[in-house]
Amino acid sequence: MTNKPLKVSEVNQYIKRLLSSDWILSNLKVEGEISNFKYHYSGHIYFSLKDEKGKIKCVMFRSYAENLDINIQDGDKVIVTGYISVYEKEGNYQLYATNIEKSGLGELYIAFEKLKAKLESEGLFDPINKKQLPAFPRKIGIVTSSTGAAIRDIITVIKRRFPIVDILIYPALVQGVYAVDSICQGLNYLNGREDIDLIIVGRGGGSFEELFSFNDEKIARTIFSLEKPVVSAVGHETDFTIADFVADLRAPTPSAAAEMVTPERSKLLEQLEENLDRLIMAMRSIVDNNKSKMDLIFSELRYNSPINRVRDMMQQQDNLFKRLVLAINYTLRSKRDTLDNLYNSLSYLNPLYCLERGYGILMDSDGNIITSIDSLDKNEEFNIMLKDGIVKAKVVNINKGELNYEKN
Amino acid sequence: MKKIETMTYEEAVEELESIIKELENENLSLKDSMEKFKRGMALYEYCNEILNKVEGEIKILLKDDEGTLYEEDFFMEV
Repeated sequence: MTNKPLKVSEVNQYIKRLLSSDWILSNLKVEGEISNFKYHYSGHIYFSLKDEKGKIKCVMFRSYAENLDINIQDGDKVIVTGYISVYEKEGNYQLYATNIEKSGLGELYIAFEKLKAKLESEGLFDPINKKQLPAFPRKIGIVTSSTGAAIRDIITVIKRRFPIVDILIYPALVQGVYAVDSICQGLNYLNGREDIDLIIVGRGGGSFEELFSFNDEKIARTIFSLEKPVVSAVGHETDFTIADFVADLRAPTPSAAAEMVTPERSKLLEQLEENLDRLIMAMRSIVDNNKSKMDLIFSELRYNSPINRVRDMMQQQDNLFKRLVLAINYTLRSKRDTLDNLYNSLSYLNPLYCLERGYGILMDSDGNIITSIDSLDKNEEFNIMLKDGIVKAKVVNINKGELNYEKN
Repeated sequence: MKKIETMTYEEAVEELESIIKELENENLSLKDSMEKFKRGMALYEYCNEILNKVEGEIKILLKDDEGTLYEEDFFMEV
Protein backbone atom coordinates (compact mmCIF):
# COMPACT_ATOMS: atom_id res chain seq x y z
CA MET A 1 0.00 0.00 0.00
CA THR A 2 1.69 3.10 -1.17
CA ASN A 3 1.22 6.21 0.84
CA LYS A 4 2.15 8.90 -1.54
CA PRO A 5 1.91 12.29 0.13
CA LEU A 6 -0.72 14.66 -1.32
CA LYS A 7 -0.39 18.37 -1.75
CA VAL A 8 -2.40 20.62 0.53
CA SER A 9 -4.33 22.01 -2.37
CA GLU A 10 -5.07 18.49 -3.59
CA VAL A 11 -6.58 17.58 -0.23
CA ASN A 12 -8.70 20.70 -0.22
CA GLN A 13 -9.82 20.06 -3.77
CA TYR A 14 -10.72 16.52 -2.88
CA ILE A 15 -12.76 17.57 0.11
CA LYS A 16 -14.43 20.22 -1.98
CA ARG A 17 -15.43 17.60 -4.54
CA LEU A 18 -16.76 15.37 -1.83
CA LEU A 19 -18.86 18.13 -0.34
CA SER A 20 -20.14 19.30 -3.68
CA SER A 21 -21.34 15.88 -4.57
CA ASP A 22 -23.36 15.59 -1.40
CA TRP A 23 -26.96 16.33 -2.27
CA ILE A 24 -27.80 17.67 1.18
CA LEU A 25 -24.82 20.00 1.46
CA SER A 26 -25.22 21.32 -2.05
CA ASN A 27 -28.61 22.84 -1.29
CA LEU A 28 -29.67 23.43 2.29
CA LYS A 29 -31.23 25.85 4.74
CA VAL A 30 -29.53 26.58 8.04
CA GLU A 31 -31.16 28.27 10.97
CA GLY A 32 -29.08 30.22 13.46
CA GLU A 33 -28.15 33.53 14.96
CA ILE A 34 -26.03 36.06 13.14
CA SER A 35 -22.68 37.07 14.57
CA ASN A 36 -19.61 38.95 13.30
CA PHE A 37 -21.75 40.50 10.58
CA LYS A 38 -19.67 42.51 8.12
CA TYR A 39 -20.44 44.44 4.97
CA HIS A 40 -17.32 44.37 2.86
CA TYR A 41 -16.59 47.29 0.57
CA SER A 42 -16.60 44.86 -2.31
CA GLY A 43 -20.33 44.33 -1.63
CA HIS A 44 -19.92 40.84 -0.24
CA ILE A 45 -21.29 40.04 3.20
CA TYR A 46 -19.40 38.02 5.76
CA PHE A 47 -20.86 36.62 8.95
CA SER A 48 -21.15 33.59 11.14
CA LEU A 49 -24.18 31.56 12.06
CA LYS A 50 -24.24 30.08 15.48
CA ASP A 51 -26.35 28.20 17.92
CA GLU A 52 -25.70 27.11 21.50
CA LYS A 53 -23.24 24.44 20.48
CA GLY A 54 -21.54 25.55 17.34
CA LYS A 55 -20.69 28.03 14.65
CA ILE A 56 -20.37 28.09 10.89
CA LYS A 57 -18.72 30.68 8.68
CA CYS A 58 -20.87 32.22 6.00
CA VAL A 59 -20.39 34.42 2.97
CA MET A 60 -22.89 36.05 0.67
CA PHE A 61 -21.62 37.43 -2.60
CA ARG A 62 -22.57 40.83 -3.87
CA SER A 63 -24.90 39.57 -6.58
CA TYR A 64 -27.09 38.03 -3.88
CA ALA A 65 -26.48 40.67 -1.22
CA GLU A 66 -27.85 43.39 -3.52
CA ASN A 67 -31.23 41.71 -3.59
CA LEU A 68 -31.60 41.49 0.16
CA ASP A 69 -34.51 43.59 1.34
CA ILE A 70 -34.07 43.13 5.07
CA ASN A 71 -31.76 44.72 7.55
CA ILE A 72 -29.43 42.28 9.22
CA GLN A 73 -27.48 42.76 12.34
CA ASP A 74 -25.75 40.64 14.94
CA GLY A 75 -28.15 38.69 17.09
CA ASP A 76 -30.78 38.31 14.38
CA LYS A 77 -32.23 34.87 14.11
CA VAL A 78 -32.22 33.92 10.48
CA ILE A 79 -32.61 31.10 8.02
CA VAL A 80 -29.87 31.06 5.41
CA THR A 81 -30.29 29.25 2.13
CA GLY A 82 -27.16 28.16 0.26
CA TYR A 83 -24.58 25.41 -0.10
CA ILE A 84 -21.53 24.21 1.78
CA SER A 85 -18.19 24.41 0.09
CA VAL A 86 -14.55 24.80 0.86
CA TYR A 87 -12.53 27.94 0.80
CA GLU A 88 -9.38 26.33 -0.44
CA LYS A 89 -7.05 29.17 0.47
CA GLU A 90 -7.81 28.78 4.14
CA GLY A 91 -8.92 25.16 4.19
CA ASN A 92 -12.23 26.21 5.68
CA TYR A 93 -15.57 24.98 4.75
CA GLN A 94 -18.23 27.62 4.80
CA LEU A 95 -21.82 28.28 3.94
CA TYR A 96 -22.22 30.17 0.67
CA ALA A 97 -25.49 31.98 1.22
CA THR A 98 -27.89 32.78 -1.61
CA ASN A 99 -30.69 34.14 0.56
CA ILE A 100 -31.24 35.22 4.12
CA GLU A 101 -34.63 35.54 5.74
CA LYS A 102 -35.48 36.35 9.30
CA SER A 103 -36.49 33.20 11.03
CA GLY A 104 -40.20 33.27 11.52
CA LEU A 105 -42.38 36.30 11.94
CA GLY A 106 -41.85 35.90 15.63
CA GLU A 107 -38.87 38.20 15.86
CA LEU A 108 -40.35 40.96 13.73
CA TYR A 109 -43.66 40.60 15.42
CA ILE A 110 -42.11 40.95 18.86
CA ALA A 111 -40.24 44.05 17.69
CA PHE A 112 -43.45 45.41 16.24
CA GLU A 113 -45.35 44.81 19.45
CA LYS A 114 -42.58 46.31 21.55
CA LEU A 115 -42.39 49.46 19.46
CA LYS A 116 -46.17 49.73 19.36
CA ALA A 117 -46.40 49.52 23.15
CA LYS A 118 -43.63 52.07 23.56
CA LEU A 119 -45.12 54.62 21.18
CA GLU A 120 -48.57 54.07 22.57
CA SER A 121 -47.36 54.79 26.10
CA GLU A 122 -45.80 57.99 24.79
CA GLY A 123 -49.17 59.09 23.46
CA LEU A 124 -48.35 58.90 19.76
CA PHE A 125 -51.58 57.06 19.03
CA ASP A 126 -53.74 59.24 21.26
CA PRO A 127 -56.97 60.32 19.54
CA ILE A 128 -56.48 63.79 21.09
CA ASN A 129 -53.46 64.25 18.84
CA LYS A 130 -55.29 63.29 15.67
CA LYS A 131 -55.69 66.18 13.29
CA GLN A 132 -58.87 66.68 11.38
CA LEU A 133 -58.86 66.31 7.61
CA PRO A 134 -59.91 69.33 5.56
CA ALA A 135 -63.40 68.85 4.14
CA PHE A 136 -62.43 70.55 0.92
CA PRO A 137 -58.77 69.91 0.04
CA ARG A 138 -57.19 71.99 -2.70
CA LYS A 139 -53.91 70.09 -3.03
CA ILE A 140 -53.09 66.60 -1.83
CA GLY A 141 -49.53 65.42 -1.29
CA ILE A 142 -48.75 61.74 -1.78
CA VAL A 143 -45.66 59.90 -0.57
CA THR A 144 -45.40 56.56 -2.31
CA SER A 145 -43.74 54.72 -5.13
CA SER A 146 -44.36 56.44 -8.46
CA THR A 147 -44.64 53.12 -10.24
CA GLY A 148 -46.78 50.94 -7.99
CA ALA A 149 -50.46 50.14 -8.10
CA ALA A 150 -50.99 52.37 -5.07
CA ILE A 151 -50.45 55.67 -6.89
CA ARG A 152 -52.59 54.50 -9.80
CA ASP A 153 -55.43 53.53 -7.51
CA ILE A 154 -55.27 56.80 -5.57
CA ILE A 155 -55.26 59.00 -8.67
CA THR A 156 -58.05 57.02 -10.33
CA VAL A 157 -60.33 57.39 -7.33
CA ILE A 158 -59.54 61.08 -6.81
CA LYS A 159 -60.16 61.85 -10.49
CA ARG A 160 -63.53 60.16 -10.30
CA ARG A 161 -64.72 61.79 -7.08
CA PHE A 162 -63.06 65.17 -6.97
CA PRO A 163 -61.25 66.00 -10.22
CA ILE A 164 -60.68 69.65 -9.34
CA VAL A 165 -58.08 68.92 -6.66
CA ASP A 166 -54.36 69.24 -7.37
CA ILE A 167 -52.05 66.34 -6.60
CA LEU A 168 -48.33 66.43 -5.85
CA ILE A 169 -46.45 63.14 -5.75
CA TYR A 170 -43.24 62.66 -3.83
CA PRO A 171 -41.83 59.43 -5.27
CA ALA A 172 -40.41 57.39 -2.42
CA LEU A 173 -38.81 54.01 -2.02
CA VAL A 174 -41.30 51.93 -0.11
CA GLN A 175 -39.20 48.88 0.68
CA GLY A 176 -35.57 48.07 1.27
CA VAL A 177 -32.83 49.68 3.27
CA TYR A 178 -33.48 53.23 2.09
CA ALA A 179 -37.25 53.17 2.34
CA VAL A 180 -37.47 54.70 5.82
CA ASP A 181 -35.29 57.70 5.03
CA SER A 182 -36.93 58.19 1.67
CA ILE A 183 -40.44 58.16 3.15
CA CYS A 184 -39.43 60.50 5.99
CA GLN A 185 -37.89 62.96 3.52
CA GLY A 186 -41.07 62.94 1.49
CA LEU A 187 -43.24 63.52 4.54
CA ASN A 188 -41.09 66.38 5.77
CA TYR A 189 -40.87 67.98 2.34
CA LEU A 190 -44.62 67.94 1.73
CA ASN A 191 -45.29 69.11 5.27
CA GLY A 192 -43.14 72.15 4.56
CA ARG A 193 -45.10 73.10 1.45
CA GLU A 194 -47.66 75.85 2.04
CA ASP A 195 -49.96 74.63 -0.70
CA ILE A 196 -50.43 71.07 0.54
CA ASP A 197 -53.56 70.47 2.62
CA LEU A 198 -52.97 66.85 3.60
CA ILE A 199 -50.61 63.98 2.97
CA ILE A 200 -51.29 60.39 1.99
CA VAL A 201 -48.42 57.99 2.73
CA GLY A 202 -48.50 54.37 1.77
CA ARG A 203 -47.90 51.58 -0.65
CA GLY A 204 -49.66 48.63 -2.19
CA GLY A 205 -49.89 45.19 -0.69
CA GLY A 206 -46.86 43.05 0.04
CA SER A 207 -45.38 40.56 2.44
CA PHE A 208 -44.98 41.39 6.09
CA GLU A 209 -41.31 42.11 5.44
CA GLU A 210 -42.09 44.33 2.47
CA LEU A 211 -44.43 46.43 4.55
CA PHE A 212 -42.04 46.52 7.43
CA SER A 213 -40.56 49.93 6.67
CA PHE A 214 -43.88 51.35 7.77
CA ASN A 215 -43.26 49.83 11.18
CA ASP A 216 -40.14 51.89 11.65
CA GLU A 217 -39.90 54.15 14.67
CA LYS A 218 -38.44 57.00 12.62
CA ILE A 219 -41.44 57.04 10.29
CA ALA A 220 -43.80 56.91 13.27
CA ARG A 221 -42.09 59.89 14.92
CA THR A 222 -41.94 61.83 11.66
CA ILE A 223 -45.66 61.34 11.04
CA PHE A 224 -46.37 62.41 14.60
CA SER A 225 -44.28 65.58 14.26
CA LEU A 226 -46.01 66.87 11.12
CA GLU A 227 -48.41 69.81 11.24
CA LYS A 228 -50.42 68.58 8.30
CA PRO A 229 -52.88 65.73 8.59
CA VAL A 230 -51.50 62.40 7.42
CA VAL A 231 -53.51 59.49 6.08
CA SER A 232 -51.77 56.12 6.03
CA ALA A 233 -52.62 53.60 3.35
CA VAL A 234 -50.39 50.59 3.66
CA GLY A 235 -51.11 47.29 1.95
CA HIS A 236 -54.44 45.61 2.28
CA GLU A 237 -57.27 45.87 4.71
CA THR A 238 -55.79 43.24 7.02
CA ASP A 239 -52.37 44.85 7.22
CA PHE A 240 -51.76 47.04 10.24
CA THR A 241 -48.50 48.96 10.62
CA ILE A 242 -47.16 51.37 13.20
CA ALA A 243 -47.65 54.15 10.65
CA ASP A 244 -51.37 53.33 10.65
CA PHE A 245 -51.59 53.86 14.39
CA VAL A 246 -49.76 57.18 14.35
CA ALA A 247 -51.45 58.59 11.27
CA ASP A 248 -54.37 60.93 11.75
CA LEU A 249 -56.47 58.53 9.75
CA ARG A 250 -55.81 54.93 8.73
CA ALA A 251 -57.14 53.89 5.35
CA PRO A 252 -57.44 50.17 4.73
CA THR A 253 -56.09 50.54 1.17
CA PRO A 254 -54.70 53.30 -1.06
CA SER A 255 -58.03 53.51 -2.96
CA ALA A 256 -59.86 53.88 0.33
CA ALA A 257 -57.46 56.66 1.35
CA ALA A 258 -58.33 58.56 -1.82
CA GLU A 259 -61.99 58.16 -1.04
CA MET A 260 -61.61 59.26 2.56
CA VAL A 261 -59.75 62.48 1.76
CA THR A 262 -62.01 63.75 -1.02
CA PRO A 263 -65.60 64.89 -1.03
CA GLU A 264 -67.72 63.84 -3.98
CA ARG A 265 -68.04 66.78 -6.33
CA SER A 266 -71.47 65.68 -7.57
CA LYS A 267 -72.73 65.65 -3.96
CA LEU A 268 -71.29 69.10 -3.29
CA LEU A 269 -72.97 70.43 -6.41
CA GLU A 270 -76.25 68.88 -5.30
CA GLN A 271 -75.95 70.47 -1.86
CA LEU A 272 -75.06 73.80 -3.42
CA GLU A 273 -78.16 73.71 -5.65
CA GLU A 274 -80.25 72.88 -2.58
CA ASN A 275 -78.80 75.89 -0.84
CA LEU A 276 -79.62 78.06 -3.85
CA ASP A 277 -83.23 76.83 -3.79
CA ARG A 278 -83.50 77.55 -0.09
CA LEU A 279 -81.97 81.00 -0.51
CA ILE A 280 -84.42 81.94 -3.24
CA MET A 281 -87.39 80.46 -1.37
CA ALA A 282 -86.49 82.36 1.77
CA MET A 283 -86.16 85.62 -0.14
CA ARG A 284 -89.39 85.01 -2.03
CA SER A 285 -91.32 84.43 1.16
CA ILE A 286 -89.82 87.57 2.68
CA VAL A 287 -90.92 89.56 -0.37
CA ASP A 288 -94.37 87.94 -0.27
CA ASN A 289 -94.74 88.73 3.41
CA ASN A 290 -93.74 92.31 2.87
CA LYS A 291 -96.09 92.57 -0.07
CA SER A 292 -99.08 91.31 1.86
CA LYS A 293 -98.14 93.59 4.74
CA MET A 294 -98.05 96.45 2.25
CA ASP A 295 -101.43 95.45 0.86
CA LEU A 296 -102.85 95.47 4.34
CA ILE A 297 -101.35 98.85 5.12
CA PHE A 298 -102.58 100.21 1.81
CA SER A 299 -106.11 99.03 2.37
CA GLU A 300 -106.01 100.52 5.87
CA LEU A 301 -104.69 103.70 4.40
CA ARG A 302 -107.42 103.74 1.82
CA TYR A 303 -109.97 103.09 4.51
CA ASN A 304 -108.68 105.98 6.53
CA SER A 305 -108.13 108.23 3.56
CA PRO A 306 -109.35 111.91 3.84
CA ILE A 307 -111.11 111.42 0.52
CA ASN A 308 -113.71 109.43 2.39
CA ARG A 309 -114.31 112.29 4.76
CA VAL A 310 -114.48 114.66 1.85
CA ARG A 311 -117.06 112.41 0.27
CA ASP A 312 -119.00 112.27 3.52
CA MET A 313 -118.87 116.00 3.79
CA MET A 314 -119.96 116.39 0.20
CA GLN A 315 -122.88 114.13 0.84
CA GLN A 316 -123.70 116.05 3.96
CA GLN A 317 -123.50 119.20 1.96
CA ASP A 318 -125.82 117.75 -0.65
CA ASN A 319 -128.28 116.88 2.07
CA LEU A 320 -128.04 120.31 3.55
CA PHE A 321 -128.51 121.82 0.15
CA LYS A 322 -131.56 119.70 -0.48
CA ARG A 323 -132.96 120.67 2.86
CA LEU A 324 -132.14 124.25 2.12
CA VAL A 325 -133.98 124.09 -1.17
CA LEU A 326 -136.94 122.45 0.48
CA ALA A 327 -136.95 125.03 3.19
CA ILE A 328 -136.73 127.88 0.74
CA ASN A 329 -139.49 126.44 -1.39
CA TYR A 330 -141.64 126.05 1.63
CA THR A 331 -140.97 129.56 2.75
CA LEU A 332 -141.60 130.90 -0.69
CA ARG A 333 -144.85 129.05 -0.95
CA SER A 334 -146.08 130.22 2.37
CA LYS A 335 -145.04 133.74 1.53
CA ARG A 336 -146.87 133.48 -1.75
CA ASP A 337 -149.95 132.17 0.07
CA THR A 338 -149.75 135.07 2.42
CA LEU A 339 -149.32 137.33 -0.51
CA ASP A 340 -152.31 135.77 -2.22
CA ASN A 341 -154.35 136.22 0.89
CA LEU A 342 -153.22 139.76 1.15
CA TYR A 343 -154.03 140.28 -2.43
CA ASN A 344 -157.44 138.85 -1.89
CA SER A 345 -157.92 140.96 1.16
CA LEU A 346 -156.58 143.89 -0.71
CA SER A 347 -158.96 143.21 -3.54
CA TYR A 348 -161.79 143.64 -1.16
CA LEU A 349 -160.43 146.94 -0.14
CA ASN A 350 -160.00 148.11 -3.69
CA PRO A 351 -162.32 151.03 -4.17
CA LEU A 352 -163.01 149.84 -7.66
CA TYR A 353 -164.48 146.71 -6.06
CA CYS A 354 -166.99 149.01 -4.31
CA LEU A 355 -167.90 150.50 -7.68
CA GLU A 356 -168.83 146.97 -8.82
CA ARG A 357 -171.23 146.77 -6.01
CA GLY A 358 -172.85 150.06 -6.96
CA TYR A 359 -170.93 152.52 -4.95
CA GLY A 360 -169.52 155.64 -6.42
CA ILE A 361 -166.48 157.68 -5.47
CA LEU A 362 -166.74 161.45 -5.23
CA MET A 363 -163.80 163.54 -6.30
CA ASP A 364 -163.36 167.30 -6.56
CA SER A 365 -162.24 168.96 -9.70
CA ASP A 366 -158.67 168.39 -8.70
CA GLY A 367 -159.24 164.64 -8.37
CA ASN A 368 -159.17 164.57 -4.55
CA ILE A 369 -161.47 162.07 -3.01
CA ILE A 370 -164.35 163.64 -1.09
CA THR A 371 -165.25 161.72 2.04
CA SER A 372 -167.17 164.44 3.90
CA ILE A 373 -169.89 166.83 2.98
CA ASP A 374 -167.83 169.50 4.59
CA SER A 375 -165.60 169.43 1.59
CA LEU A 376 -168.49 170.41 -0.71
CA ASP A 377 -170.31 173.64 -1.12
CA LYS A 378 -173.69 174.30 -2.68
CA ASN A 379 -173.56 174.51 -6.49
CA GLU A 380 -170.06 173.22 -6.48
CA GLU A 381 -169.29 170.93 -9.31
CA PHE A 382 -167.79 167.58 -8.63
CA ASN A 383 -167.20 164.22 -10.22
CA ILE A 384 -168.72 160.89 -9.36
CA MET A 385 -166.77 157.82 -10.39
CA LEU A 386 -168.98 154.79 -11.10
CA LYS A 387 -167.96 151.37 -12.30
CA ASP A 388 -168.30 152.31 -15.95
CA GLY A 389 -167.53 155.97 -16.08
CA ILE A 390 -167.51 159.39 -14.47
CA VAL A 391 -170.57 161.56 -13.94
CA LYS A 392 -170.19 165.34 -13.67
CA ALA A 393 -172.58 166.61 -10.96
CA LYS A 394 -173.51 169.75 -9.09
CA VAL A 395 -174.37 170.04 -5.41
CA VAL A 396 -178.04 170.89 -5.09
CA ASN A 397 -178.45 170.65 -1.39
CA ILE A 398 -176.42 169.73 1.63
CA ASN A 399 -178.11 167.93 4.55
CA LYS A 400 -175.47 167.36 7.08
CA GLY A 401 -175.96 164.33 9.35
CA GLU A 402 -178.82 162.85 7.27
CA LEU A 403 -178.27 159.23 6.20
CA ASN A 404 -180.85 157.05 4.43
CA TYR A 405 -179.35 153.59 3.93
CA GLU A 406 -182.74 151.96 4.42
CA LYS A 407 -183.96 153.33 1.12
CA ASN A 408 -181.61 151.16 -0.79
CA MET B 1 -67.48 91.25 5.95
CA LYS B 2 -64.76 89.08 4.20
CA LYS B 3 -64.08 89.53 0.51
CA ILE B 4 -65.57 86.57 -1.26
CA GLU B 5 -62.59 86.03 -3.59
CA THR B 6 -60.34 85.47 -0.60
CA MET B 7 -62.58 82.87 1.00
CA THR B 8 -62.06 79.14 1.06
CA TYR B 9 -64.86 76.96 -0.25
CA GLU B 10 -65.77 75.88 3.29
CA GLU B 11 -65.96 79.48 4.50
CA ALA B 12 -68.16 80.44 1.58
CA VAL B 13 -70.54 77.50 2.10
CA GLU B 14 -70.67 78.18 5.83
CA GLU B 15 -71.61 81.82 5.31
CA LEU B 16 -74.14 80.92 2.63
CA GLU B 17 -75.83 78.50 5.02
CA SER B 18 -75.89 81.01 7.85
CA ILE B 19 -77.44 83.62 5.53
CA ILE B 20 -80.14 81.13 4.53
CA LYS B 21 -80.89 80.43 8.20
CA GLU B 22 -81.09 84.15 8.95
CA LEU B 23 -83.44 84.74 6.03
CA GLU B 24 -85.54 81.76 7.05
CA ASN B 25 -85.79 82.42 10.74
CA GLU B 26 -85.17 86.05 11.52
CA ASN B 27 -87.31 89.06 11.07
CA LEU B 28 -85.03 91.21 9.01
CA SER B 29 -85.96 94.44 7.35
CA LEU B 30 -86.58 94.22 3.63
CA LYS B 31 -83.43 96.21 2.98
CA ASP B 32 -81.26 93.91 5.13
CA SER B 33 -82.88 90.89 3.55
CA MET B 34 -82.11 92.15 0.07
CA GLU B 35 -78.51 92.77 0.99
CA LYS B 36 -78.15 89.33 2.55
CA PHE B 37 -79.81 87.75 -0.46
CA LYS B 38 -77.43 89.50 -2.83
CA ARG B 39 -74.47 88.33 -0.76
CA GLY B 40 -75.88 84.79 -0.70
CA MET B 41 -76.19 84.77 -4.48
CA ALA B 42 -72.61 85.96 -4.83
CA LEU B 43 -71.42 83.20 -2.47
CA TYR B 44 -73.37 80.63 -4.47
CA GLU B 45 -71.80 81.83 -7.72
CA TYR B 46 -68.37 81.66 -6.13
CA CYS B 47 -68.83 78.09 -4.84
CA ASN B 48 -70.31 76.98 -8.12
CA GLU B 49 -67.34 78.39 -9.96
CA ILE B 50 -64.92 76.53 -7.70
CA LEU B 51 -66.74 73.23 -8.15
CA ASN B 52 -66.83 73.64 -11.92
CA LYS B 53 -63.29 74.79 -12.39
CA VAL B 54 -60.98 72.88 -14.70
CA GLU B 55 -59.44 69.60 -13.58
CA GLY B 56 -56.67 69.84 -11.02
CA GLU B 57 -53.11 69.17 -12.07
CA ILE B 58 -51.06 66.13 -11.14
CA LYS B 59 -47.36 66.75 -10.64
CA ILE B 60 -44.48 64.58 -9.57
CA LEU B 61 -41.37 65.80 -7.79
CA LEU B 62 -38.06 64.98 -9.44
CA LYS B 63 -34.47 65.78 -8.58
CA ASP B 64 -32.13 67.57 -10.95
CA ASP B 65 -28.38 66.89 -11.12
CA GLU B 66 -27.73 69.05 -8.10
CA GLY B 67 -30.38 67.27 -6.09
CA THR B 68 -32.85 70.15 -6.22
CA LEU B 69 -36.49 69.17 -6.44
CA TYR B 70 -38.59 70.34 -9.37
CA GLU B 71 -42.08 69.49 -10.49
CA GLU B 72 -43.17 67.82 -13.67
CA ASP B 73 -46.53 66.68 -15.01
CA PHE B 74 -47.27 63.14 -13.97
CA PHE B 75 -48.71 60.74 -16.52
CA MET B 76 -50.13 57.51 -15.30
CA GLU B 77 -49.14 54.46 -17.25
CA VAL B 78 -52.33 52.73 -18.31
